[in-house]
Amino acid sequence: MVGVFEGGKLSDAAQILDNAARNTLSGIIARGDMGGKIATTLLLHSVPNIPSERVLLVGLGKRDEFAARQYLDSIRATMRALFATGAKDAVLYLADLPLAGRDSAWCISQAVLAAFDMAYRFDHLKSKADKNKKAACKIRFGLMSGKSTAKQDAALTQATAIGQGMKLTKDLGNLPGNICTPSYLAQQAVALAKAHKSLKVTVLEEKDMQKLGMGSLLSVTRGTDEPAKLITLEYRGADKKQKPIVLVGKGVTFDSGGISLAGRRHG
Amino acid sequence: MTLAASRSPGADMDEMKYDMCGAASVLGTLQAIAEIGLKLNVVGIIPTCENMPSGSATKPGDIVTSMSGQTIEILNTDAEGRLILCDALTYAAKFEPTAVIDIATLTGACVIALGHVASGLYSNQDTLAQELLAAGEQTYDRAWHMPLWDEYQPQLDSNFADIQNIGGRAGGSITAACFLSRFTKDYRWAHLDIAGTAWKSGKEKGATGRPVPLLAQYLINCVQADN
Repeated sequence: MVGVFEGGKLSDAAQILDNAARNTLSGIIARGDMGGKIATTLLLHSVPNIPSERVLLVGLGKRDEFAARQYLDSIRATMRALFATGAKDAVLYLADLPLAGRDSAWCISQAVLAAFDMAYRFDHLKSKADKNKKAACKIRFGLMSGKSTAKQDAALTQATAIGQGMKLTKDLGNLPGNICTPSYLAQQAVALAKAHKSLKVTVLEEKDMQKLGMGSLLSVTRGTDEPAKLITLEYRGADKKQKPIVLVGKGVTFDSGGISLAGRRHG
Repeated sequence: MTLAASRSPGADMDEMKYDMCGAASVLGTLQAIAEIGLKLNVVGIIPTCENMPSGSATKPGDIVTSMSGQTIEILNTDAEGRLILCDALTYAAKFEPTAVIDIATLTGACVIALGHVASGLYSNQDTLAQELLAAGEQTYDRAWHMPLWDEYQPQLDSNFADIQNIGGRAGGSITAACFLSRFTKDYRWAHLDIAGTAWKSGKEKGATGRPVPLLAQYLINCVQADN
């Protein structure tokens, strides 16, 4: 997966490929099949002298306009095109292109997040599985420097964890209200704490909240048969004396609006 | 979540299953930092329930007492997010937090103001706001700093209780944040209104996973700042 700027100018990695392939890439560009327009892609098969089965050319737009947004657009197009193929292994040569204001560690992070996003499916509630489901594709980063820096490695690890976290967030969000109830969210928190020793979970029931005097919270749950929960997940990554940062997340698993039905005009 | 007046009753109501995306982002963020093994202590608090009409449901005009002791006149039962958050925010104080960040699909007004690009950010401390904005900019999961000025607070005055739960159509996302600010005076606090960014509507309907990147990056930056 290599980049081409508008006007047919090859990125450094694409140039090396083109040299090895005896100008096959530049020939294709000269024929007008890849103009380098932003977020366009062209999949090539069996390029001479290149051991990989496929080469994906990715349009990057105008070289002097290539910035964060352009990179994000082209990286998403790249992942979309990649996942449409049957490739099980891929090397991305786009993460160390010169980009105003952003370093390659950032490019790596964003490529990881784009890959997670483009690979995301929510189809397990369909009665028939997708027959065209693709096997997983392993993506590696090719860097012109040859060797990754500690910062680039950290970016890869962190972005992978963030991508998985986003997947969990999306799955929970997409689940319908008849499955993802307050009790279901509590079970998910318990499962997370089971999977990670650093996490401890506590779930308070309505009677506990009553004792704490949470009259405001409990007023919202009065109209439903589903029991409300107050979930606390404590992550301990540092000394226990260190005061925590607290994240509070609103978990209304279905909001009809109550007596003031949702969507009604109100003053 | 209080919806925008432009929506017709019933339309897109299925999307109100997404009203727990703040909770989902807390779980996603905690999973991410546990995976990374971040050297930091973080507590996630999730108040979770359904908001349904029935014979026992809260009625407009009802007055309840929050955990903080402040009484609230519930003029609109659809402004329920702030009602569950305020008690959770009071509860958060027991952890003696260095900062509290709440994340909520809170108002349709925030979608009108910022569309589906930026999350609305409010804070009672500018440094915290700047840190969160920077983390959002860094990950391209961006937020926009909104005002939390005292001039908006009178919109929440009630004739019958300490505070009412809606402040009218004008500045609806701001007055929702103002409501929460009444319960967060004892610590550094920020509020992210993600009603426009947590999910997409239409053909590409689906949750986005935002603002997990912003939150995780903020926590990563906190560790780096300590070292």
